[in-house]
Amino acid sequence: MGKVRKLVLFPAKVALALVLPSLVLYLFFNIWPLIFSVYIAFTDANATNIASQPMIAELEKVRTNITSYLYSNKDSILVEVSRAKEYINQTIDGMEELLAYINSSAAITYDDIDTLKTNITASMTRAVAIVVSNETMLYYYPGLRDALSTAQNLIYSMWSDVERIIGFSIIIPPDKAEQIREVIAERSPAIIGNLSLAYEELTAIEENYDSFVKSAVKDIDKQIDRLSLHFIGLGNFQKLFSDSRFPYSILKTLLFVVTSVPMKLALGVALAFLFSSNLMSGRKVMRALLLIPWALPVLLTVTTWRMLFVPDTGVFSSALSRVLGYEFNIYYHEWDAFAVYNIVEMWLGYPFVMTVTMGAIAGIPKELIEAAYIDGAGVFQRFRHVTLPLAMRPILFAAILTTGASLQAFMVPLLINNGGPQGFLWVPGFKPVSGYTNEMMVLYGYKRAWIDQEFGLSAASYLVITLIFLLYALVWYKFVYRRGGR
Amino acid sequence: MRRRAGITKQAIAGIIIVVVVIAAAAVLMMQGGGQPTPTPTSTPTGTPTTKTPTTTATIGTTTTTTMSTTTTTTTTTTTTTTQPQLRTITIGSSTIRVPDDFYEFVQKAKNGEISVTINFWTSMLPFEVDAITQVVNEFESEYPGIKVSYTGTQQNMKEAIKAGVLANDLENTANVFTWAHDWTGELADGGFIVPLDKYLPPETIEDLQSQYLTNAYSAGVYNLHLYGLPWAAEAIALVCNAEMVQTPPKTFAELEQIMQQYYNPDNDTYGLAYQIDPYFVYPFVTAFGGYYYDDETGSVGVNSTGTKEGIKFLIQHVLAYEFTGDLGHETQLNIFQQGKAPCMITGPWDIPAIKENIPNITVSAIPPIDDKVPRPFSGIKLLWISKVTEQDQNKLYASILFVMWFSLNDDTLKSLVDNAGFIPVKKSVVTYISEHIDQYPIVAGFIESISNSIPMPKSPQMAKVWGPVAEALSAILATYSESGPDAALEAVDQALDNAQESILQSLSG
Amino acid sequence: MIGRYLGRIVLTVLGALIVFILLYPVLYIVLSSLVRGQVLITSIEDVWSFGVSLEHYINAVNDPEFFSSTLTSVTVAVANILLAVLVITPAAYAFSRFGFKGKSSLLMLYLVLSQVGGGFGIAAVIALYVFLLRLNAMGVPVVGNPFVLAVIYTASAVPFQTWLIKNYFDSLPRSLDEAAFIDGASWARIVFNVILPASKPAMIIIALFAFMGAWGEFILASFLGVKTLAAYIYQTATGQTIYWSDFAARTLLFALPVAVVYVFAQKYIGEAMRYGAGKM
Repeated sequence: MGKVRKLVLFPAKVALALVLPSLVLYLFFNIWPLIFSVYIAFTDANATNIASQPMIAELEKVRTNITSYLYSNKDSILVEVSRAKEYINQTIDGMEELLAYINSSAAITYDDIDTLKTNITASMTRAVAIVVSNETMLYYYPGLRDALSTAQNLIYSMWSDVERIIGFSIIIPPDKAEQIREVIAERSPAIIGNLSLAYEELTAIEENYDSFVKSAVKDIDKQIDRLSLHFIGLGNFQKLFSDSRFPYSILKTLLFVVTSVPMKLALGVALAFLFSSNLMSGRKVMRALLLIPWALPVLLTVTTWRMLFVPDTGVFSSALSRVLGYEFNIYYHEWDAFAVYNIVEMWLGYPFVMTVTMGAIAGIPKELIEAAYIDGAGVFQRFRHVTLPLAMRPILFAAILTTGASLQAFMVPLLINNGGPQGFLWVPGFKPVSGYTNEMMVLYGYKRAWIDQEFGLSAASYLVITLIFLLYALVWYKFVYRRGGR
Repeated sequence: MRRRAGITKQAIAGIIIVVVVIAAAAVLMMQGGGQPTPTPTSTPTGTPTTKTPTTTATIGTTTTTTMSTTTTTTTTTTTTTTQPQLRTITIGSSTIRVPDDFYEFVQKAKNGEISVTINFWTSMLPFEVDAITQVVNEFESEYPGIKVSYTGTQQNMKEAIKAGVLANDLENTANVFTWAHDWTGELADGGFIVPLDKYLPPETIEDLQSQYLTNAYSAGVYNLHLYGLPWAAEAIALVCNAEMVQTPPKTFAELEQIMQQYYNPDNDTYGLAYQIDPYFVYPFVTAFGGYYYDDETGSVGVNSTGTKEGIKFLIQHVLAYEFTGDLGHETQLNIFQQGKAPCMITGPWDIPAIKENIPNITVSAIPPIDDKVPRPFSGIKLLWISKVTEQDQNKLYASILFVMWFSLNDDTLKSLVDNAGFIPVKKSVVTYISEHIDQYPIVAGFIESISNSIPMPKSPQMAKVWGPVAEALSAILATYSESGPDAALEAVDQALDNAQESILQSLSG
Repeated sequence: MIGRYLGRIVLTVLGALIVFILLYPVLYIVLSSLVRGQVLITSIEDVWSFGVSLEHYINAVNDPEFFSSTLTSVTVAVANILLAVLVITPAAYAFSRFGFKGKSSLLMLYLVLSQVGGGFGIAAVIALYVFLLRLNAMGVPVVGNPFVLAVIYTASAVPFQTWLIKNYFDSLPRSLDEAAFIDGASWARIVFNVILPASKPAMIIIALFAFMGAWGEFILASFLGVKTLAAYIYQTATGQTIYWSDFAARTLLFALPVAVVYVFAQKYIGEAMRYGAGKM
């Protein structure tokens, strides 16, 4: 009845309006980082070059002007060069004074040393100031920079040692004086040597200004290149598969899936059925308690499991050692650790399976079970022929999601023993290498990023892992969806 | 028909929206290489300018004044170009020469004539944050013109700073922040921190240098630039339970005796609590002349004879008295806390937890092995200024002042010792502690250890060294646990050689 | 009769035993949080020898930052719940009822992405972070803003939740909507009187996941400087010294709301999963 509506009940444009906000949100905040990560996988990104844009921009600014600047200011720069040479000479003089002082037979006093130190510091600071100044650009003359830097570090280390020997005392006893003599005598040649080298470099600049300019430009280019991100195509992927470590981690993860998933399912389903039985009192409370492993933060629970399995003293590990008759040690035995991973994963994963299965069981019409009961079926037969088949679909669904969780195993190996004992890894067809024997694939990627700071390599590994997931998702999508029909 | 056209239009609209969204996101990402756009108040010298030092940002140009030395040798005079006057400011027991305009700024800040806010970040435990907050408040009361917005427990601080610099976020990123000095190389190379010598003349640098222990000061210098000032240090030392060990052992032989006395695994007591990882075993490596990585030459010494000997010594004379089932931090700390071992080798960070269970402890440097001095790694806590701060002259000066003040004010440095157990590095404070050693036995003990120490390498390359060394240690320990000490001794050479190889590979590749 | 009675006792005891075994680690954590001092207990005897005290809980509750970060967490969670329900419910409904071009491919994409999306690790987090900071520099207040965090959480939840709730709606007969429509009801009436009441379980499910996600996430929260309780707890767990007993106490307090929610919402979660599975 009612008027003829031109409107269709579920028009497409309303649909899009309803879907768009959530889709936009997702694209804006999630797809972008994904795209960036994919991009990174084809570059040599690491800690030095992933975020160096500010420095690169600065260096490039210098680069564009440097040649013209150096030539137009040649005179004033050369003045600075000669001043720097003066200061370096003064520093060398100061060092030689120091040497003369300690080699003389006079007693060494704190004040004298301090005075000599002040002089050396004063002239050295000024020499350095000239070299690092933005106005001389001498910093970009690598020979000079390195020589001066080495000299400076040696001077610091000499004074550090002297301070250590003197300690808090003002009076310096003879044995300490002897030590001071040794330290200074030992270091001075290198210091003077490097200072002289710096002096020579400065002279070289005076004599051949053009080559100085060329070197400076080259040096800046080199620094810019070191800080830049380079596109290396499939380089990271080649690296991933150049030795056994990554392939091994993939295989180990698959093994982990094969062992842990059945355990999780078995426990979850068994518990679901057990705690759905009418015979048990206090079911609701117990079921609620059983959900706790799911509710607590993984960081806390897995670390606790680790404490329980600490070799020798841990509650569980000592019990196991007694039962099994050998020392159960998750830090040194690969398969002990692997077993613990499975136990922990099972503990973490069963609540989910249990909840899903219980939901499924609750959804089975009571009449069917009663009918079976009336037909004379015993408890187990009812279970096998009525309950189980009807609950199969949700259990399958739980299995799929929980397999995904096992594939992504990362927190558990990391927190239990950081990927397991060191060992010798060899996957046929790849180069044998030493590595972590329980390193799952996501953990491998994480370590490359956090520990090695090789972001490009890490992103590449994640790409491969994602491909594996995709494959997995496609397989069950086709397999299960086709089967189930829509 | 109409319906279909409707769908197509909608679909196209949808696709356009999606594309626009992604493009917008991409543009936002790519935009601005983080190059600070100069605001009217300052022009940071990124580009070489000709010599007209009247630009406001260049605090002092590279000039010198006449210089005379107090010894009998030459006095030198040099030409001066333009030369800002130098005034002095006093912080604590130190007087520092500073350029005129900086001095003006400091006065204005003291009088409250200007108003500027800076962000200060640390990443510390709550009790440390409390101590630092006191210091910050003290600063603000002395310089009412400067407000310091302090975040004590910044997570992922390094990444946050990097991202802030990348995004050019002057308002919210830290202007001043602090951490151990091993970040210096990475931060400096990437351009995330400001070299102080860009804005301070040599005189200031000279004066600053003489205030701190050289060890500590040099930690802030990288590739000739001074990037940060030190305010505290940490290194591991020998911590003993005073009930079990009345006076700390002066030689390693003494220590070994003590360890032998207490080592009784059947009784669940051990000779020493000591976690084993590359950082912690370093004193034994250096005692025998070994090293991991040399900042200067870039050479890797993981399989040098000294290192190998040091590790072998460790196996025979240290591991033998430990609980080797779990050589991780928590378990070893626990052993010491429960009184199951007389001594522990650890750093100042564990002291609060230890003192909750063991009130009387002694701290001393790890005793020498005959004439060999074990030199642990030290971490020097530095204050750095982030790159974004350059955009605003007032914030820049305020940050420089704050950095100087924090590291030089004797009273607040002492309060940090008292309230949070930080180990000081300013010479005058260290001297003070040495004169009142009875009041500060723990701090004095750590100072002793720090004076023996070797600062961790600053180079970003060092990051590639820790991993393989840890793996080598882990392999050696596995052999120890499986097959005993002798087998472990034999495994040392191979394990360290492997580590050396993989480090060299990753450094070149 | 006796057989049944006996069976009941046996089963209940068995159940209790199983619960005890499975929850032993939790017992361990609880004991750790109750022990005096910052000790790692290795056996039950340790608890007696060190003494029992509530000091860690008291410390936790008295800690002003604990309190303020809890408030922040609540803010983020509530914002997340509201936004998620608002945005995902209609989308799911649309996927269920409407037909439009690209629907099935988008749906499959959602499904796959939801399984896969988590894995991109640190590069993705940094990228997101820098991107958000750019927004911030352009004037959109992003850093330290709990609402932006909630928006990001919702965004990440879109694929999985949409798919899940879509399945739920699929199980509601279309005839309901159509009947109301044929009866001449306006769109508003249909929405408010028919669809919304029927979607109550769906919205509860979304709210549930939104709450649990927002409460527990700490990586992004700490990056963005939003001081949620999760981020705060994480921070006490990392670093050189883990104050173990403190950590245990705080984490238990932190987990309490989630546990409570889980328990009460068990039924809904089970149903949700059933609907998710229903399409198979």
